[in-house]
Amino acid sequence: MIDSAQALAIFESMLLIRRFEETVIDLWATVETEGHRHVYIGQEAVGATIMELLREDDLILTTHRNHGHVLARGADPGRALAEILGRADGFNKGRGGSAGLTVRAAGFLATTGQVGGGIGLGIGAAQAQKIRGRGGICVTFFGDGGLEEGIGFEAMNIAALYSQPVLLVCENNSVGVTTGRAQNEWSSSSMAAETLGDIPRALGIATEVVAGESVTDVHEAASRLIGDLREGRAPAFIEMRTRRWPGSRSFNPQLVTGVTDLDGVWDPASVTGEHADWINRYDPVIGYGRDLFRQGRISRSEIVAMNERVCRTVEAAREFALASPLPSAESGLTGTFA
Amino acid sequence: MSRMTFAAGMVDAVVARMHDDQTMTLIGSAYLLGPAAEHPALNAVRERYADRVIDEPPISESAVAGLAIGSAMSGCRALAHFGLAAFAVEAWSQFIHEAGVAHHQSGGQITVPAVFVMMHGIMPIEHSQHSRSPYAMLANCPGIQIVLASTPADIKGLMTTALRSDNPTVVMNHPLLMAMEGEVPDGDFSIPFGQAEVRRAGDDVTIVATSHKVHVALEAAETLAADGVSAEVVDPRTIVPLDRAAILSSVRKTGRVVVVDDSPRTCGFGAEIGALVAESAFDDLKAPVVRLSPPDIPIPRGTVAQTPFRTTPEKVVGAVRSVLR
Repeated sequence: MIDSAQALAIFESMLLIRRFEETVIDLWATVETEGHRHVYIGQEAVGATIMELLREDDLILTTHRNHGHVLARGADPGRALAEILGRADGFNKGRGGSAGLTVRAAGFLATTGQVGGGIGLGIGAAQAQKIRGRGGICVTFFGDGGLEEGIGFEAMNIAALYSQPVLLVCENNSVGVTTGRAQNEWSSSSMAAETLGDIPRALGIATEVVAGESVTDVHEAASRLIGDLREGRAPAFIEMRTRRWPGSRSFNPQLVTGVTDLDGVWDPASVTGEHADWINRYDPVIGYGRDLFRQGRISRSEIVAMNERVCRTVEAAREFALASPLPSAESGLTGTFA
Repeated sequence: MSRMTFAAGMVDAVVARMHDDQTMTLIGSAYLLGPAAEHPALNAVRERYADRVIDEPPISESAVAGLAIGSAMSGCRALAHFGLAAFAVEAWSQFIHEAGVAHHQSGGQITVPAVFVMMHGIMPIEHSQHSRSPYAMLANCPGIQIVLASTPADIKGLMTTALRSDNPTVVMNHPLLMAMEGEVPDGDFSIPFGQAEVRRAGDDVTIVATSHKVHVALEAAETLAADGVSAEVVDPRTIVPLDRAAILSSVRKTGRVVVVDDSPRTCGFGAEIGALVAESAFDDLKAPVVRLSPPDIPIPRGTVAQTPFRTTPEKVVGAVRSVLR
């Protein structure tokens, strides 16, 4: 059982991610912006819960779908949003954008848009943690598509051979996706394996396959495996199976499920429309809100207050990001080498 | 000064850095270090710091590169040895998309103090897939320093610099250099990147040569000297960064250039030097630039079939005579 303080912290983190991503989509619809973006809607339970379980000295690798990880780790939402918009005050000075947003000071070693690339880097981070010998670990996030690249297999093999303290978090957001191409979306996953966790199991890696929209399930599996890693039983793999959010598109996510209405937490009957099934069964924010509400760990007024707090934070982030200038034409000409 | 082989000079630098940098990791098979594997100091350091040695990793060049780069990003320097450059091509994505861009793309948040060592050149008894000198390919991917050493002292000094740098560095060595002997400074010794060395001073022609081809060029210069031709041999030592000033200064003096290296002809290192000279020293040229590089053909197996691909002192002499006409 997750203690209440931790549970509320996870829920608030999930809500922050949701409001932030809704703002990202809105900005692309209303402000002149460049580039594509990959949002974390539908996967909040994974990032928020795992970050809550990490120590300050743990290292993290993430991908083009990084916004949720960065926010859940406590990075400044204003500078994160500025980076996503490619502005000069972003964490990468605007050079990373949505897909490359990284925050070294928060433990993110690299954010790579090269699919699968981070799985290779993660074993190096784990090796460094082993050399330091202070019980730090590395968490490598990647999607189901990341396993389609060969480096994932190579890196898992090395991690297993050398017992490297890395938690491989495969966020499989392709569960139930059959109509991807019809929606002008990537068709992933294109894996012959149905359960991706079968792949690391073949290498003898401790593996859990978890419903990624359930904070309780994610917490149970991740806390146990992270504990194992810190005690030297390494590596570990979790397949987080999430049902893809209906608004996901390859380049241009659409808020087809609307701005999340928290009434759905205390009044399930208020959830209606074409996507009611996804919201009721797979929306991690609504789902965990209902759990906490039913358990009496949070009241309706507390949720409303939390939502207002989060929305103020995101609004401030939005103002900060929009006030930040674009990098100058010369800005990209420096800093190739340290 | 001590007399030692090229391989021993490299090991000298690696061993010193393994002692001094208690987070440095050494990755790769001892066998792949070639003759250096037999060096007692290397074996001693591998035993003493066994927790920082990953010996005989799987045949997984991409992940081995990732291991080194991720460790380096975490603040633990890493040296990974790949055996042949031909094998390391498997790791190109990690080199160019991760190591090469991390610092720039992160806005300076990330540094990658990693060194990748590999052998380039024609492998006499191996087929085409083993005979590669792909440094021009990497030079075409910004963000990676590239070392091509030619003497025991230089490999020690350049390897020391690589192992102190905050930037990713590829070190490509030619197998024929490994057993060559020379005087090497004792103790701490480093050579800055981007500083060419004039191996032999001359007035009539500039021979820009890298790696093992420096020795081929020097042999040719000796022959030419007997005929009264004064050739200057310039060894860039690092091609990223490249000491353009030193090359141009020599060309402005001699007015003639022959480039001798192992990268294939099209878009190779010779092409880069030709372009540099055409752009910046055109008015000083007295003859067209000549490139001596392997043709754009896979290098075949066997010493006889490899003859047209191997640049000899005689070919260099011939090229110099052609620009002196």
